[in-house]
Amino acid sequence: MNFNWLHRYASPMNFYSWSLVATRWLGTVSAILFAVGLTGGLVYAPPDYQQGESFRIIYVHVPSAWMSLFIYMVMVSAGTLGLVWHVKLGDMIARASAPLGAWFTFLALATGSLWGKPMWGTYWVWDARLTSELILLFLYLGYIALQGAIEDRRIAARAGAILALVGTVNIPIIHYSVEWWNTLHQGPTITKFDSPSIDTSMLIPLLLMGLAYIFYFCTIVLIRTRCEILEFERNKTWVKQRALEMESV
Amino acid sequence: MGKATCTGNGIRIVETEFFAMDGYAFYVWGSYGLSAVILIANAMLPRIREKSLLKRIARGYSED
Repeated sequence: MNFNWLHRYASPMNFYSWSLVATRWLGTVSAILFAVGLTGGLVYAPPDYQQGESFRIIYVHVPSAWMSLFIYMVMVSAGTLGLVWHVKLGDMIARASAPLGAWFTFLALATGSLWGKPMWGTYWVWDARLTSELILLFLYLGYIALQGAIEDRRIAARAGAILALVGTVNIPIIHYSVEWWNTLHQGPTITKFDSPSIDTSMLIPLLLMGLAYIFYFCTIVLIRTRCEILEFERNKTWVKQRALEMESV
Repeated sequence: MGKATCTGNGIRIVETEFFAMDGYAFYVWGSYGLSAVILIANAMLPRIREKSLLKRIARGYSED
């Protein structure tokens, strides 16, 4: 297959230009979605018939958990682009994604813990869902540590991509953990499309928050990727020119 | 949102109940607060980093 087109669009110089426009739009959409989703979740959604007001944690917990898995797949895909097709931007996107993935995984664990205390009576339990999500956090941290430990960027990117690929085995384990094992964590409520066990007035704010998180991630990962470009291409003429242009503005 | 029990300023009661979250205030606002702090910090820091990188490159950091 011919990947010339990909190399052209994904050249760091072209990426830098279009991402400046993209972050402005994505950021605005994300802010609007956050405003609408939060209003829906905190004000319009009725309290749960079993969990009362505490169920509102769902609107920050579930999107974080979705993002922890989604960002991992972004990291693996981008890393594979770099590993197999030598797309430099792929390596940079993978590096830029990892800290965000780690933060979302931490948030999923922390908000879940704050939800678990009033509902299950404990902040933590070693059940399959919680443990596999904790392993995901360690995978992200391992990836970040690996990037920091290897001086040569190309080797670091290759090693990171391989580590991420191997860690992919954990993703279906997290997803199906609530079905494969008897967990304290509740089963899926959203993915059962035949009969979702959540009311529309509760579901819509959740989907809006999920979208808000995705747009947020896209915005921030583009900015972080630009930082990667600036750091590692700082000797390129176009980077110096761009920096001098920005300076004079 | 909860039950209104006392008389007086209606808006004040609704507000108080909203923040009380029916006794789950610590858990609900704790998780929203934590999420807000981490999301806002993660949005601000890369912007600051990009600006300072551009500045340093303009001042010859690239010659290292």
